[in-house]
Amino acid sequence: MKQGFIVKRQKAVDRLPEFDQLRDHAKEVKDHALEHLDFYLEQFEDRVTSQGGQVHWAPTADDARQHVLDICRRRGARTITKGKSMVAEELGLNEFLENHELVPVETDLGEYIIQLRGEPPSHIIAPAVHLNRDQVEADFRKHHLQFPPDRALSEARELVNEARTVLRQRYLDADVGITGANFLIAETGATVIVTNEGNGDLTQCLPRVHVVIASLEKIVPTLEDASTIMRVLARSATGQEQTVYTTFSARPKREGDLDGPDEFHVILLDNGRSAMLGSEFQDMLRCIRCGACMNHCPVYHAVGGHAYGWTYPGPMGAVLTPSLIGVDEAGHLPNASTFCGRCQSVCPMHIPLPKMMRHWREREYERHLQPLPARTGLKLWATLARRPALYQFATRLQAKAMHLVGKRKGRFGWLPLAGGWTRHRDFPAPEGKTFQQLWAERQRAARPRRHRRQGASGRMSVKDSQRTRVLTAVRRSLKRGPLTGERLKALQRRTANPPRGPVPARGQLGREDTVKLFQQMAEEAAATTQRLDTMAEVPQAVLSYLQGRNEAAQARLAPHPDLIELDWQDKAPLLQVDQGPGEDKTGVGVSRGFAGVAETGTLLLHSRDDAARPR
Amino acid sequence: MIVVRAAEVHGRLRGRLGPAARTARADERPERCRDLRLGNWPRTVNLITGPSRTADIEQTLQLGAHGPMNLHVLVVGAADADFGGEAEARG
Repeated sequence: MKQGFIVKRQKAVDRLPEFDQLRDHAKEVKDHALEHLDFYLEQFEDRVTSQGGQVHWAPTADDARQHVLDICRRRGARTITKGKSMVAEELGLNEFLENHELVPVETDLGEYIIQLRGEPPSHIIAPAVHLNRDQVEADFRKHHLQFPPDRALSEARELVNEARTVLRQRYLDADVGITGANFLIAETGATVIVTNEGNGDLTQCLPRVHVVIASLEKIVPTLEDASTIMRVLARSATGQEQTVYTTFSARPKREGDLDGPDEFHVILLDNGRSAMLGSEFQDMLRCIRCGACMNHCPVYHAVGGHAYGWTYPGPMGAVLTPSLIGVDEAGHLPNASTFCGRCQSVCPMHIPLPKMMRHWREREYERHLQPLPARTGLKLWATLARRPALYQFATRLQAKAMHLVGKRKGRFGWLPLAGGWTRHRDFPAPEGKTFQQLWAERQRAARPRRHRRQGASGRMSVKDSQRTRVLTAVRRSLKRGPLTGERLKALQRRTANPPRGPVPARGQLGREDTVKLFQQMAEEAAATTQRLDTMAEVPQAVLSYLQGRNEAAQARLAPHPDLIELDWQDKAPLLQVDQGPGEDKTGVGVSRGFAGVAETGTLLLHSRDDAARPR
Repeated sequence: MIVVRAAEVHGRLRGRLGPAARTARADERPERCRDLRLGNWPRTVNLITGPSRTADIEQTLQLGAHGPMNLHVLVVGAADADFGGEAEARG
């Protein structure tokens, strides 16, 4: 079963001689983005805000859940559709929303099935891979009581159709749509999702509010950078040249748009990422969640995704999970490896997964090796550290006492419990105040100035402080302050003129061959294509297509001048034509693409021209 | 069904996409290019590669999961056509 992914990936890689060069370049792009994460996050925020969207910073999972809840409550939402999002899984968002009387509905078919079953996903791109058809049929019969019990439901096709019908109504009912993001593009403020089903598009364009939840490391500087990584993503994941739908969303609906949300929110989640920066686990932040490592992992194949016990399974989970929830909780995961190295060899982002699993094993080992006094001391300290008020009281008392005792000499020649230190050097006597006290004083002193600049009054708002916390944590890990001067200018130059990745030979053919390749690749992706000499032939081609399929001679046009100005009445009198957004029942919707891409057989549309596409 | 001009088919995805043919002239008419890197984007840009599909049930491919079950592409005109002005008059 999972062998399918392995074979398909290999075929896609073999077909693209530049694959390894693209991998190298993709790694460089992500390394660059991580090294300058604070800059690109601020640039992204700036763009989203200037385009009418809102950015919410979430240092922790709690903060992110609260942002979602606040948005839903403010809009009086009840039903919430969700595109597939591993970050939402990480947040346990469904359970959280249910506990607050909201109704989250997963719309990716696999996610929908496991939501009905109350299970977590077992694979990051094929969440229901552990189930068979009979199990799905039983679940649908149990939950879809609106349909006759004697209906045929044993074939995959029937199951897909039933889910489509049920979810269609859910999209229309939804007040808020939540999606994840595969990329956040700093230069344009766009969030990008890739899906095959098209559920992400319906989730974000039908409800009144679109919320994107993404972790910090999803950021890439430019569209060029995103397209480099996209070239290795689908090929590594499913072996497709490109996923069916890659959607860039950048703002709320504007005047003249046929559909789209009134509000566009992006929640930027840290939840442990900033602490990975600058550590031996920074490389893990390059992960693009393709799933190739688990598809090729003998341990994953043997135990399945659920055995990993948390959101992220397989080798990437074995490295990421301890970083996010702690090695105490997840220390066993890095031990679930044979170190065969296949995960690293197929990783499109060159993440040294086995090496990092060894790092975790070392950390775990070190912990058990510590002598009893150190462990007891740490335990004592931990007890204090978990009680901030007590901790601050105790340290204040200690600093004061040591100041009083030691101020005459200014240092200590000997201290109880610190003999190892004082044997070789003196311990300086504290000045009488703790770091926390000094910091609080400094903050108080700095505050009036900051607020004059921001034009706000009173305390720093929660939102500002969340933003500051995330950016400060990122910079602390990167061991520097905000970028200035020449380094800042270099980043601005890079954005204006991004480095071009390797260009596949396939993308550099002559004009006619390019068009032929486009048709070939589109057909491989299960589309059909037809060449016409002039636009005037379009109406007849639409009619013939419908007649050839024995379908009603009806077409709905996207309101694009190139289409509506055609003489439909005269060229195809039998065809009934109207305009407007496509619906489920629209027989054929005719849209105007603004470009085609031969490398992958991809068409590009935008929200103004593509509205008649049947959804 | 999606209509696209053959002259708008590019080799690969890039930041500035307009007529691929006669790019020098196309650049003289920026209104015909959609610069994907500009800030003034439409709400969404959609890249579509084939009809909607899913393999979530037993890894078997099914078309038409949520979106269309079929995608038919009409590729119009010559690959090297300049379709502005006089070219349009040709047909």
